[in-house]
Amino acid sequence: MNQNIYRSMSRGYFILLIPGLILLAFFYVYPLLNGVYLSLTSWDGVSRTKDFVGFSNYINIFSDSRFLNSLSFTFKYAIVSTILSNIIAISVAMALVSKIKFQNFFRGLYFFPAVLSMLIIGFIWKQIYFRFIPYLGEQLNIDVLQTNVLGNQDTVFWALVVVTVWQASAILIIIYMAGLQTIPQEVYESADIDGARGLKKFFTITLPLIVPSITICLILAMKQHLMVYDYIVAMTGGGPGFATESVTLLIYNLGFLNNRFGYGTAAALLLFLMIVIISFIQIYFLRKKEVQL
Amino acid sequence: MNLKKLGVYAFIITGGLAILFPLYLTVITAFKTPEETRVSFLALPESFSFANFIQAIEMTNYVQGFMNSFMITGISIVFIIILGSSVSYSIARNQDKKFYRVMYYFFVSGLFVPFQVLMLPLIQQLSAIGMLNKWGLILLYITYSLFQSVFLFVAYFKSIPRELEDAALIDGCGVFRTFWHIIFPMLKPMTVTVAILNIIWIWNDFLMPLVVLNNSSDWTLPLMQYVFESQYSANYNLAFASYLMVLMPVIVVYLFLQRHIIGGVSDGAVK
Amino acid sequence: MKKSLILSAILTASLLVGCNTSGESPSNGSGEGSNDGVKTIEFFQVKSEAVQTFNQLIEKFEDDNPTINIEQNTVPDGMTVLKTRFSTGDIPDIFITYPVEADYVLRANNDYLLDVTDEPFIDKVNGEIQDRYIENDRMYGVALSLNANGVLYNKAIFEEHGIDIPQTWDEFMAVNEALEAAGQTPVIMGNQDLGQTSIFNLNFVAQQFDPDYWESLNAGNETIVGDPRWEEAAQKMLDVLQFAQRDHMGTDYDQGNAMFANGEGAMYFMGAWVLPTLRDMNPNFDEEFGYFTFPQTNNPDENVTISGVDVGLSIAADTDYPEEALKFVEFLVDEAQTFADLDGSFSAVEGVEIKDPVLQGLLPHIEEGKVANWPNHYWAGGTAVEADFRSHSQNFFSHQNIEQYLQDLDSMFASYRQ
Repeated sequence: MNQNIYRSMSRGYFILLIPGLILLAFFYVYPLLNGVYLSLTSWDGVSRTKDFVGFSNYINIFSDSRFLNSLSFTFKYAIVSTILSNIIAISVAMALVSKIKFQNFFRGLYFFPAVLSMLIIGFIWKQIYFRFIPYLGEQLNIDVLQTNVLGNQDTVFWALVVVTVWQASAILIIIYMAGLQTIPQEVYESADIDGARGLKKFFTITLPLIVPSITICLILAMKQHLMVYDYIVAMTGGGPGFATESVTLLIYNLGFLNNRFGYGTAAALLLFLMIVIISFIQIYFLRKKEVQL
Repeated sequence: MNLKKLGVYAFIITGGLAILFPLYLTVITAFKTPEETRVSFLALPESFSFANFIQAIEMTNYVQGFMNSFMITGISIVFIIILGSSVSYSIARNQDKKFYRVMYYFFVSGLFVPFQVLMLPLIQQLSAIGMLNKWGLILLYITYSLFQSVFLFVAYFKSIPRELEDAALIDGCGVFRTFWHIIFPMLKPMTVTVAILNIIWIWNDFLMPLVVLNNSSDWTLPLMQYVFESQYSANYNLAFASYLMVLMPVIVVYLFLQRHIIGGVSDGAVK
Repeated sequence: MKKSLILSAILTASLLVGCNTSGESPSNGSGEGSNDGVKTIEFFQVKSEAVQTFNQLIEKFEDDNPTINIEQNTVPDGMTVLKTRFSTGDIPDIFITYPVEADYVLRANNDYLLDVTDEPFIDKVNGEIQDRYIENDRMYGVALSLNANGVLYNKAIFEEHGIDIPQTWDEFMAVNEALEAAGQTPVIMGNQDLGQTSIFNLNFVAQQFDPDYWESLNAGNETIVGDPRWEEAAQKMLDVLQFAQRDHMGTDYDQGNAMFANGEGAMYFMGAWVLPTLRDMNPNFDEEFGYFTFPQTNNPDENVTISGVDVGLSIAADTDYPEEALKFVEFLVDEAQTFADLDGSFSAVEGVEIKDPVLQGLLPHIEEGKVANWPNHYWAGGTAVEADFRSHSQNFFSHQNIEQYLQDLDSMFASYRQ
């Protein structure tokens, strides 16, 4: 290629990159660095000076019972929701890829919750928990269901998990279906000859072959659930008491209500760090289990 | 049909009913009067009355919320597609250069960053330039969509042969013209995927509008809903009518473009 | 080539244009403000119940002053949004402020608020209340109306069971027991909503502690755990809680309002701001319901009605139109009678007559001066500590362990001390 064309081409490529670079510099890199700086100050959002306090925000946060409480709620919620939604998604996906009628209809139906607003879904379930579940509880004479499960510290956790699984399974089902459909029929046929049946067939053949899908689904679900916010705002506001105060809600409250910008950003950076670490651990362990056909 | 098959159907149908039940409640309650709801929460309405909807439209400022959501989503999507594909083109076709390889990781790195990390400093920053409004929000959507769209588009470029564009470039077409006339049309399947993923995200997003939109005249549908929820949540029929109104545009689009949407979302997730 | 250049030019240009247009008018909503000569003033107010009332007054004001456009802005979580807007420097022209409260003090001391001490309309306001705004000998806000917190009751239910209005704590508990024995729900509560928990339990706190106590607490000289006054207050909270409807922890504010307005319970501990909402829900509200003072103790003279500034207004020090903003505030003070009639609140302005039939029930007590300001207004930490207090109270209503509650409050107050 001629030198001139080449030079104008590489200039052209670079120009295409510029608008994106500017946006990222302005709305991603700058606030990120600014956030790291803020997390090292005790800024309250009002004072005109920002006092540098070193790492004391990070040190204090690990003895802050409210943060630890929200961290333990968030992890418990994310782990339970991730496991349940993945189990359900694999089961449904396997049922859907087995030769059934109306496969497309069911696929469309099961995926449907994924396109709906989490906030509105939260509101709808809040009404169900206030009105319908207590009614059901009385009909069935189940004591714990006779009052709003969102108002009870022992049940509110599971009430949130149910909504989460209801909506979050949708996208996982589609991913697992795609994964399952790539398994060639011959693999199963040869397994049949070997005499593998039922659950054994599932654990020895199907599961190892869909490890890539499992990796994606676990990372996707875990990240999403660790950042739970809309459901909490719609249904509990973090209550009763502090029972469902997620880390994201705490960050919002610390920043916008308590005006503890430095402290709140430190909490946010810790959440970020945890998401990265967990994602890498998941990738690492599941890579090892992957089976090549 | 054997017993196993029957079990599979029973399982699928039970699950399907579980999906439908909250939506069934939403629809029937939206059409009922408070008296009908008091008599039975589950029964179908006696007559389909639109009174709840009319009242909900007035109370929640629905038309304005819809227009805001529509405009914010629409403008963002146009720029997301143009910017995402052009940036990716530039990165994908220069993977032999270290700078562009670094750029790829730079653009994709944001996939792991929760919005909460950027939120507090960002609000300060936007306020300083007077952009705590829908324009600021649109810019944020365009920026944060890049993380995922670069990831998806760059992967897609690997499947597009270079012969055609090389010929065009040698003919003196230039990078821009080659991109716009030759490359962009070939990206169509991935463009649809990126558009669908971002429409779902932006239309339903709650946290970013909540912290960015300071003035009620800019509010999107979910935000309107959040605001008015506290004023009528005790009137179930009105509440459900307004929930349904927010979900309705999505439901309609889903019914028509179901196949594309499912395909797009699973493509986006798997890549 | 040309086409693609244009394309990328449009791309970047539109981003820049986006910046410019919005930079000129940062919070301009209705578009009316762009008319030449019309001065737009943002009035940020957090009371969603009062939107209609203010709209009527604003309309009148704008008719008299065609060159001024008042834009009322009411957002959810208003006090939080207001704090954010202060921290980002995007301060509304006129906004609601409560005197004494930490947020007010902080803003006044950081020169964010316009000094209104010498404005003529200050003299029209009840001196005792207006003086709460004094900070370093100056005033940065004006009180317009007062809220009041008491017990709303269902007259029909009281009559049916031959119950008189209780004057003392013991009588009050006897009423609860009698109603429960008769199969009535004595009390409706909406404790799923964080906001509601403190409206109820601050009654006991306000009765027990005076401003001096809070000053001492803020300075770190008081311990809540082991303090018999706190133990008594907490015990009384639990005593009343037993008589709330079964699902009080799962009922929110709006649902609670509806239940009470529909006669599903006999009593409701609520501030006067709820009256317009209840009237909407029940057209016969004024005939069927009444108000009485919360009998916190067995000595009627010691019982207090919580009453604080409900609408108090401050003007941003850096507003573009100080004269116009002052004019609007003066107008609101002058229209205090209209405001009181529409809003159904007590007025901070002298000479305003209370016509609201339900409010009459609280009037004698208030006129005798048996009132206490909201205790939380004295707390270091302002609205943030108040929000935490609500969460801790909601938590307490769940676990019902007094020791734990008082410990939590101790560490809560400690965390807001500088």
